[in-house]
Amino acid sequence: MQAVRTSFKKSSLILGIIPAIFFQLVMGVGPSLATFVLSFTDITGVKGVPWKFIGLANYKELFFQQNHRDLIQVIKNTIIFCVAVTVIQNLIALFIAIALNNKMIRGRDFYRAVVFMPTVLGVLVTSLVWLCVLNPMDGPVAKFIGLFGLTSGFFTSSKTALACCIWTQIWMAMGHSMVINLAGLQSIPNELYEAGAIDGATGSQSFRYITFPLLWPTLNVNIMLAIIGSLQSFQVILLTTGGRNMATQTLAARVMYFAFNINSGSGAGAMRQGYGAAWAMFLFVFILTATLIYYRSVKRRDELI
Amino acid sequence: MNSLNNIKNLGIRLLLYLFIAVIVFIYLFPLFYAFNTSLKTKLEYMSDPTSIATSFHFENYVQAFKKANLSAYVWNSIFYMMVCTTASMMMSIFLAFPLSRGYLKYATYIFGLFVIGMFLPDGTIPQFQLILKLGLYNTRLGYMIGMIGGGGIPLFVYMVYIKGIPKEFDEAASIDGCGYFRFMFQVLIPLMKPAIASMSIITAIGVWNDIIRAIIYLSSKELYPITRGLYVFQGQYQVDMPQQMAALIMVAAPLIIAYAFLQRYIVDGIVAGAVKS
Repeated sequence: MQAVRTSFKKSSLILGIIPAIFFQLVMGVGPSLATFVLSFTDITGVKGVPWKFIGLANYKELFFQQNHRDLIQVIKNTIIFCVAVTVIQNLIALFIAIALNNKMIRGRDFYRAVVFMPTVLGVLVTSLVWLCVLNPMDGPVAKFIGLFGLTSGFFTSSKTALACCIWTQIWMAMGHSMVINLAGLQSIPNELYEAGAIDGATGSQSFRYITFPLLWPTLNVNIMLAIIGSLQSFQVILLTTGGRNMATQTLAARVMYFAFNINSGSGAGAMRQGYGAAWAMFLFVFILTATLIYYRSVKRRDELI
Repeated sequence: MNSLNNIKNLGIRLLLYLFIAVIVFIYLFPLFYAFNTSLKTKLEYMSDPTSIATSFHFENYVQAFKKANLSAYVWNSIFYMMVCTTASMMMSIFLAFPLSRGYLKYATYIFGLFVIGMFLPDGTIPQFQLILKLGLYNTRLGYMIGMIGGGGIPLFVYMVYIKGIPKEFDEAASIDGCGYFRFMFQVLIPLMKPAIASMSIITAIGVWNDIIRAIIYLSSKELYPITRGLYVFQGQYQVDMPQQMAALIMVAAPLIIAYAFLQRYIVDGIVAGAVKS
């Protein structure tokens, strides 16, 4: 592989890329690979405590020695969280993008700005706002459903907590999918719709035969991002319901719970980081499997078209 | 036939507006509710939490500002944001240029190092161990070091952007005797301003909004960023919802104001990142 000739000094070019490569190796790729190694140790988050390799003990505990109901619940939660977030977020983002792409609608930039705002507000502000709005005692939503004689514990009840986390996650992340969809829609040439209209295509036909196929690559990116993102996401869960409420624990939340004991809010506590690393490896395999399953099913579908 | 079409169009428009109205309500209501709550006294809130605030109690803001110690935390946040963003952007630009131009041998392997990083397991735990071993736990450097990097979306966006800048600039500069680093700062970086603006803003927002690292790496109060301050405050003053919401609004307000002015850059950056990666 031959480098392109340049009159800049090679040494300067190399000096320029060293910081980025150094950080990528030491803070990025290195730690990622080390997760695998640490998953065979009993290392803790406390400095100076001796640690040793303990073979497969962490994995044994993860799969066989802990309460089976907990493990099954965590896997179930992870799947529900991932599927619900991916499907609902992308469906609504698609609808909003199509609505906001309609030239008949006035004030589109404002609506787009409003829906995108949580991306800027960040996960902490989002979580605290929804904790307040979904306050089970006297929040506005509690009052509203109270009019129909209903009550709910929202984030505090084991029946509804996961749904509330899913809702908050979607509220936060949907703007991201929407702007990507909107950019995809705007890149579809208008002539196609005009040609379709001349040929007498109805609204639903032009969606089926023009919009959807041309937007598909964009949707595909969005779905992929949502699957991976929701499987890795634990911030909303830990900030709203903590780590002890098993009803909301996903794999990613468990990693943080065991490794950093984040539930207590201070990061102090047991901090079983070797065990946490084993969970992180399990999560990694889980994400890999989910992505492959999605990729395979999409490929099959693409072949059918 | 034409009038029938008009009626149909009107109907579709009404439906669209209705749909948009519901969505906008879902997005704006929580923020209005938080703001409304922040203006009430504690008694008003306890007697009727959902009523519209009639008298404005800005003393909640003063109180929360003092109690949550936000004035100290805000400078920490600004410091973290500036350092991490500047360092990351510099690294990305200096990496993107030779990779995009192909000036270095093994450019594909170097690029691969940054792509593969996205497909590896999460490295948070070993990263923590490393920072602990280096004695950087509970230091500004230890907190920031994991948020600095030259990879990710900025790298990809810059590489594409630099491809659009003619190579003649490089040659002209070096013929005139301009060194590499001077060329980067005086020629290339000014030419990349739009891309740098988008990517810097997105990176800066990410650093400003970080909470998990602030929980993991920082234990002394003097080092807290504003998010950690807010998080602690909401744990301590759970009973006083109006003050809690006042603190929250004070953390969110700069973001909302910045967003109002920089929306274009932010959205452009997100879209560019998604399309290019």
